[in-house]
Amino acid sequence: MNVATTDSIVIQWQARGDVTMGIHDIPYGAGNPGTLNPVTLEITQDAKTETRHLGPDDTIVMALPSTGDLVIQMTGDNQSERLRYIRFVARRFHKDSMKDRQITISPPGAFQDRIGFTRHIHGDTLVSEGPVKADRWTDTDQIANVSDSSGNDVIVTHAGVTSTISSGGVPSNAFNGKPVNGWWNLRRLLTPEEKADQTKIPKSLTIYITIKRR
Amino acid sequence: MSIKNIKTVILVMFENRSFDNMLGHLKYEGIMPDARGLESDLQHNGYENLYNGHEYAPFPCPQDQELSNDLPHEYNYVATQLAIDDGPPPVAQMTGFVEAYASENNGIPGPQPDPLSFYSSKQVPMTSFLARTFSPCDNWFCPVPTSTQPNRTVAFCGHTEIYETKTQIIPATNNLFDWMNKHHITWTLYHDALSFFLFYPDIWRTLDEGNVVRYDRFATDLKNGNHTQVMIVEPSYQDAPHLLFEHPNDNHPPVAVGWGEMFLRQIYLAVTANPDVWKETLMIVYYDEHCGFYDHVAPPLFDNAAAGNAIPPLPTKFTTLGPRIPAILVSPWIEPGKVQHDLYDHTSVLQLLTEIFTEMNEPYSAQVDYRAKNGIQSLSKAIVDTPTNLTPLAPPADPIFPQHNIGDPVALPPKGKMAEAFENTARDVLQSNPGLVDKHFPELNNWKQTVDLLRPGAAISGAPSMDT
Repeated sequence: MNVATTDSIVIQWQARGDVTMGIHDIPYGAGNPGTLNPVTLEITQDAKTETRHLGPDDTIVMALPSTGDLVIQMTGDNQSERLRYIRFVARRFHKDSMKDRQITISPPGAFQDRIGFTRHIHGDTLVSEGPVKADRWTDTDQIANVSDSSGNDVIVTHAGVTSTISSGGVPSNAFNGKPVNGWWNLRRLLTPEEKADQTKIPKSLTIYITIKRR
Repeated sequence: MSIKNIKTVILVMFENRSFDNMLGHLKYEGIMPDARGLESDLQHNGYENLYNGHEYAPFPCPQDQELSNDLPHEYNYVATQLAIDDGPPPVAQMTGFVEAYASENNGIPGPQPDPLSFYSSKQVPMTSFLARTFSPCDNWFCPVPTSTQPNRTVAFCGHTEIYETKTQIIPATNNLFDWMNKHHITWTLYHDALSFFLFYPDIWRTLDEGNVVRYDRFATDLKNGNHTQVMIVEPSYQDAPHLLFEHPNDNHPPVAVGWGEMFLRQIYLAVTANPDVWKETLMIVYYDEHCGFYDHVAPPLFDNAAAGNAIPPLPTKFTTLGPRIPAILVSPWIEPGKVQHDLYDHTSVLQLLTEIFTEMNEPYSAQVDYRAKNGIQSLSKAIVDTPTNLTPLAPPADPIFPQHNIGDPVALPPKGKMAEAFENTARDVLQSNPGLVDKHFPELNNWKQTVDLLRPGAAISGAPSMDT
């Protein structure tokens, strides 16, 4: 699941046992948790709102009823991309049952990602294709541009558009406004080095996409 | 020969972690740049696991914590994880870890799927300490691309007549205990809870008559010089039947690794406590298999059928070793800080034991001999002539805070094939060999009484549950 920094997160739960919820944020990717900006979370359940501060590498722990729903609204950081771990634990007879939810929270504007598939070979062409559908972006996210990630010209077909993405990472606007999700086909010619030594053929063929968020 | 300086070999096999999961940090953090761990740029080093068109990369664990579930690692999932490209030449691409995980999680792997996580040196302080102080092996693969029971069977028999983990009678032909008895090698099996070796009815009698003791005795035996030539130390297994308040320390997910780190520190302190014992000791810390955690190094092609192993039905590709596992050699007789790059698997231990403790140089078995002739080295290659670390370094003294995990409720039926198999084995041995239970595992009687009391009935429906 992926939301914008200004979005509300709605969670419902049903449990048997004493329920606690833990919230822990880390930078999306491989960043140091201590570098995240502190944020304020307004957690609303049963029409009551509780304000909690979440510092870098902190964990908020709350006791909850066994069944319910709540809404989490964040303020204080509109810049960093963060991954929120929400862990629900039901405890009974000194034993736990738990459920984890991961949510990426992306700032407004554009962010870059990489998409692609495991490749196969047709003659002298490397082909990677399949359906793109991931938690990483929402159905309302749109493509701003695409660019090559492999140092080769790549022919890209998606959402009724076919365009050649030139090597060197220069972004192409051919897919501007198209949705990310859907069927993609990526193709490029094998290089002479790859033809001579198939072990040099990469495992996958991918491209960069820049995504516009609302 | 330098290996003859070693009089005691201690085997400590943990459960279910890949090399990159536990020791990938050695390179990532620049601790041992020579180790084939993870490069610092996790996005651009060929580590990508693509699923539904999205690229997933390894990531550092935010903290050591219990996972919500075990990871898929039966043979069919391992085939997905390895993603063998038929080539030519055929090669495991190591790109299917997220796909296998998603297939067990309703197709939703989440933004940072657990299989791609790896620990920092601070999160596994003892493992990291032993690796940098002694000698990690960065080319040690589990012997078969499948789950716990077959891999452990190869580790202690040299081959496996099963290819998956489930409730079954596992043949123990050529098992290590009978081999040691045949060669008059003294041995002790230390178990922190129920022993994995109960899965092998073939060796119940050997265990009954052998030196099988609680782990509690390990430190005092070493301190008092009551050690044997081979000492096998078993952790408390996550999947074994547990009574209340017992905690597993085998590092098997979903358990957090804090308990295992504490266990490893205890073992190291015990092994190094008596200088007269330590100066003649080699301890091997290794894992049975990777559990579905990502590793970036493709296992080499290997003819498992020719090595005498059972093969799953087609179309599963079963043509390689299993993924890499963490393994560390701890001894004065290894070069400190040296990364071992030779090709090892669990039978490298059997080769070593043969070289140390027998004079005839006969192979451990035909199957181990086949492996040796097809690239699997003996650990004797890592042994040096001059000892170092005769005064061993003290381990990290910082407190380890194990994250909560006390096992599944005894009132609940077991979850997963391995836990089911463990419980069925416990019941089997209780029924058919009560003498063995009374002598070595008396706690099983208490466990059965408790289970009989709590199951079936209201207690099962009273267990905690969580849905979001």
